[in-house]
Order: sequence, then C-alpha cells, then structure tokens
Amino acid sequence: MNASSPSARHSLPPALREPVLVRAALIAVGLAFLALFVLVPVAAVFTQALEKGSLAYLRAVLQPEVRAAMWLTLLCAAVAVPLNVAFGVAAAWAIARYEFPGKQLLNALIDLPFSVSPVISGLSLTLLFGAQGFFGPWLAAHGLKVVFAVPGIVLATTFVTFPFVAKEVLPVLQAQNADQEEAALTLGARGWQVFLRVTLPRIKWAVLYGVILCNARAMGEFGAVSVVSGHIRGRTNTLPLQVEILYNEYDFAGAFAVASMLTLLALVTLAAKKLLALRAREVRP
Amino acid sequence: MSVRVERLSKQFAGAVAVSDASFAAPSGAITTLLGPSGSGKTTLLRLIAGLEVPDEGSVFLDGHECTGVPVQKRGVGFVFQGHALFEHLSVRENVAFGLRVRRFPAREIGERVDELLELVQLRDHGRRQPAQLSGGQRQRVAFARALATRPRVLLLDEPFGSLDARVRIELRAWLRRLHDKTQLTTVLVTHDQEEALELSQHVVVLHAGRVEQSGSPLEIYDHPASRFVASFVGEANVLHGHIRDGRASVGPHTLSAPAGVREGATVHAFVRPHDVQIAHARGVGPPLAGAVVEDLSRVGGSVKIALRLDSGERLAIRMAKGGFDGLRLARGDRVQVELKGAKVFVEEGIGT
Repeated sequence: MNASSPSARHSLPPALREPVLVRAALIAVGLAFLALFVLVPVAAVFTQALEKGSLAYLRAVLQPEVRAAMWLTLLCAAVAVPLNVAFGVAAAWAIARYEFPGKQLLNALIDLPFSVSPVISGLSLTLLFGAQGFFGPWLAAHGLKVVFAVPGIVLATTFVTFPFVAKEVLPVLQAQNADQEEAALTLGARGWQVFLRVTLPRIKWAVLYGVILCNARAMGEFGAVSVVSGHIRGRTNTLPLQVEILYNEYDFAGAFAVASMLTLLALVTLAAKKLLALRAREVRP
Repeated sequence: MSVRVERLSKQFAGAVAVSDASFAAPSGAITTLLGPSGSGKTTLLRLIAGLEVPDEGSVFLDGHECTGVPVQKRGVGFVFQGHALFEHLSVRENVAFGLRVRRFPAREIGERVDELLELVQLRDHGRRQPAQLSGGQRQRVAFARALATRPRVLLLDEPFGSLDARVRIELRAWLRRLHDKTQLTTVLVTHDQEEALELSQHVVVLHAGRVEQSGSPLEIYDHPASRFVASFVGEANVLHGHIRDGRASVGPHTLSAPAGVREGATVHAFVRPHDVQIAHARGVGPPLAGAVVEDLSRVGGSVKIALRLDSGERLAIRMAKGGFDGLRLARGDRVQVELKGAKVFVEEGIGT
C-alpha cells in the first residue's frame, strides 16, 4: 500500500536515475524550448499591446467592433460547449457500452475535426449552406442566412470543437466496467437515475476537463470561422478574426490589445484546467 | 419466496452460456449454483435477476412468471463479485441508494440504514468512503445495500471470490448467521465446492451451461449423478476396470454395478480419499490390492498418503492422524488396500 503513496511515486529506482549532468542538460533544453516558443511570444503580445500606454489599450479594446467580436466569441462558446457536452457524453457512452453497427465508423468520425484542416471544415459548411450550396435554395426560400452570418460561425465552431468532450470521456468510461450501473439497476434505479446518480459522478472530471479544452478552442478558432464569416465588421467577426483585421490594417497596438484579451482568456482557461486536475487528484487518489 | 427457472437458454455471440437449464430454489433456503468457470452459473444468476434476457425459457419468482419484468421491478437483491459499491458515495449513501431512488421519506431512510449497518456490524463506518474499507467490510456494505430495499430474493455472485482465504471463511460463517436471521431465499454462485457444501441446503451443479444434478449437499456428495459431479464435488480417485459377470471388476476388487450393463464395458470407479482402508501387507486376509506408499504428508490433523497400486494406478487417501500413527507407515512400505465405498460409472459405447 505505502509503496504507491505520492512521495514514493516520484522517486525512481536507482537503476533508472540518470547522471546529474544528463538530468541538468535535459531540464535546460526543456526550459529553453518553453521560453523560446511560449513565454517570449506571450510576453511580446502584452508588451506590444501596452506599448502606447494603458489608455490606448483601453480605447482599443473598448471600441464597438471589438466589443461585438467579444460578444460573438462568447456566444459561439456558449452554444458550442453545451452542444458538444451533450453529444460527447452520448457518443462516448454509446461507444463504451454498446455494440452496434457503425460503432467503429462513429469512433473514427469523432476524430475527423482533428484530422481535417479547419479551412476544409469551413469550406464544407459553405458547400452545404452557401447560396450555391446543397441547402442554399431552401434556406434562401425561408429567409434564413447561415453562411456569412452568425449561425454559420456557431456551426463552424461547434464542428471543430466536437471531439474534445467525447475524447476525454471515452477512455474514462472504457476503463470502468458497468457493474456499478448494474448494481444501481438492481436497487431499483431507472435509466436516468442511473445516469445522474452513478455514471455522471464517475465521469464528472473528464467532462469538465473536456469542457475547458472545448471552450478554449471555441474561443480561439480561426480557420473554419474565417471561411464562413464573411468578415462583416461588428457583426460576423470573432476575436481571432478581429485581430487579423486590425493587424492587416497596420493597427498593431489595436491588434495586440485584442490579442492580449484572447491570451488572457486562454490563461484563465489554463489555470482552471490546472485547478481541476489538482482537485480531481485530491478526490481520486 | 421460491425461485424457479424452466428450460432457460442463453447464448452470447454464438457461444452457449446456459443451455436448457431448469431448477428450483426452495423458499427460505440458500441454494448454491456450483460449477467450474465457464459453466454458466453467473449467467444463470443474471438471468434470474433480469440483468440478462434469456433466448428461451422462463423465470418464476414466487410462482409468478417474471421473464419479461425489468430488473428494477423484480424485487431481487444482488451482490456482485467485485462488490460494485458506488465509489463516490459514503457507506451510508451506498446503503441508502435503493431507498433514495424509490423516494422513501428521509427519516425512514435514516432508520433503515442504521438498522442495516447494525446488521452487518459496520455501525461506526457510515461516514467512510468505500476506498477506506477492507475487502471484507466492502462486501458487507454490498450486502447491506442489497438488503436495504427488502428484496424477496438475495442473489449472490461469488460474493467472497475476490477475498483472501481467511476472510472468505469468516464471511462464510457470517453469511450463515445472517441467513439464519433473515431467512431470505438466497441463490449463491460459487466455484468453491467447500463453500457450497457448507453454506447451502440445496446445490445445483452446473457443467457447460447445463444442470448436471440438483439436490441436497449430502445427496450430491454421496450419490453423484454423473462422472462430472463425482469428480468436481469433493476429492475423488478414479480407478478403471471392466464389467465382468454383471459386476464391476476394478483390479482385485469387485464392485456392484448398475443393472443391465454390457459385458466388457469400461467402468470408472470414483473413490473418496477417506473411503479407503489400508493395512500392512503382512497379514493374510481377503484378496486385497497391493500397493506401495509413495509419499506421506501431514496436513493439520490429517495425513495424506499417496499410493501406487500394483496395477499402476495411483490412489490418494486421507486419514486422521490418530489412525495413521497406529499404522507406523513409512515411505516405500508395501501395504494392502481395501475400498470401503466407491461410486461406479459405466462408460457408454464400446467397451474393450
């Protein structure tokens, strides 16, 4: 029992320990890489953003176009995350617990948004919902606008983020056998009671983790959204698109100010993720 | 309440798990489903619980058919081999689970949980998490949880299978006392024949998905209905011989054989280790089989003796230490062997 306590887990058996020099070199390489590719760029974003003073910074982030982009970004996340939680948990549940025709296909399809370039995801939406697209005439006849409008952006965001929750939950469900759920059934629980009282508590941390990753990507997505957005200022630009527009207009201070907001959102997400990981370890040693 | 299954069959992806199984578990008794792994005993239990749906056949609880009744409404308590406690809930909440999902009033739940924790002697452990309990304690919580909703039948799937030997024996005695108190109709699955013979009033021996024999532990032990039952339940030596003049001739022994068997057919005589008497080869008596002592080993209060008969067949016998000391046997001694009892099975088909 005591052999697996946290303090013992970190000490390697002597045979596996490297000489001090090797260890120092490995750690140095790791830290240098981190500094070069992560810390310096993040620091650069904030320095650039604040270059012209905090007043200019505030003016840049408070201009109406940027505020609209902020709201659209939050809206996308607010729609995509719950949808993908529902879909991800359902898909993971089906794959982990049932045998059905098409199971392997479903499993492979979940990975699709990861393996396909986001630009292609965006194009496929244009092909389906654009004016010349498959559903285009029907949508036009009913006065609905998807591509170059908010619905298209939300759809694109949802599509590129749908693997996150499923990918986090699936391995957790697969590692558990169904006997606690069966026990709940023999005790008289109905299907939804089993799900709420037994299954959900057991996958809670995986779902939350998936939510955080899904949210981060939903707010940061560029490629797919860029294709379907149409870049209508103040209406169909998300924060990442707004950054690009400002940058292309040589408004570097503005571009970096908006970028710094996105970076802040990312840092908050990262902190939340770390907290969750710590909390999850506390609950399940 | 009685449990009866009739002609149950179940296949998994073409593999037969249970085949045409029928038996009845008497009301208020412990009935054991005994068989080696893969004999279909767990599947049979899950069919009774409603966790599996049979391909054919029916399940009757208290005389009422309930084959199509969902598991929640069968009124069965189920204890799983791996305890299957809800790891995210405390001991109390585990026991309360069945009452909570049935929306019992909170006060009643509290009283019932106290009562059950008392029954399984875990009154002071209510606030613990399952991970903080020992294996035996966890399994007792699983019993309390299964009993909380006052089931009409208790179904136990190798409840002590994952525990170490000493705890297993303790819990066996505990289950016996628990059953004396509750008098609940219980069906227990096990591959441990000792557990089956010690705990139950009724034993159903399963082999390859079929019911081989069903009866009291004594009947099963003393009058096995098939070669499989004779070899699986209790220790047994197998000696081979032939039918001669309507009787089984096994070495120098002649044993009674079932009537109407063919002359020359092969017989298998199952001899229990304590059904053999041995004596030093000095005396002149009835025609006994000669044998050499190959090995001796003391196991607690009894002695195991490995003999090689002159026919070449081996015989493992067991006797109390007292009787053994009187014999003054040593390895390599020649002895004479007499069979006090044997169960003879005649091989069907062509004898030699």
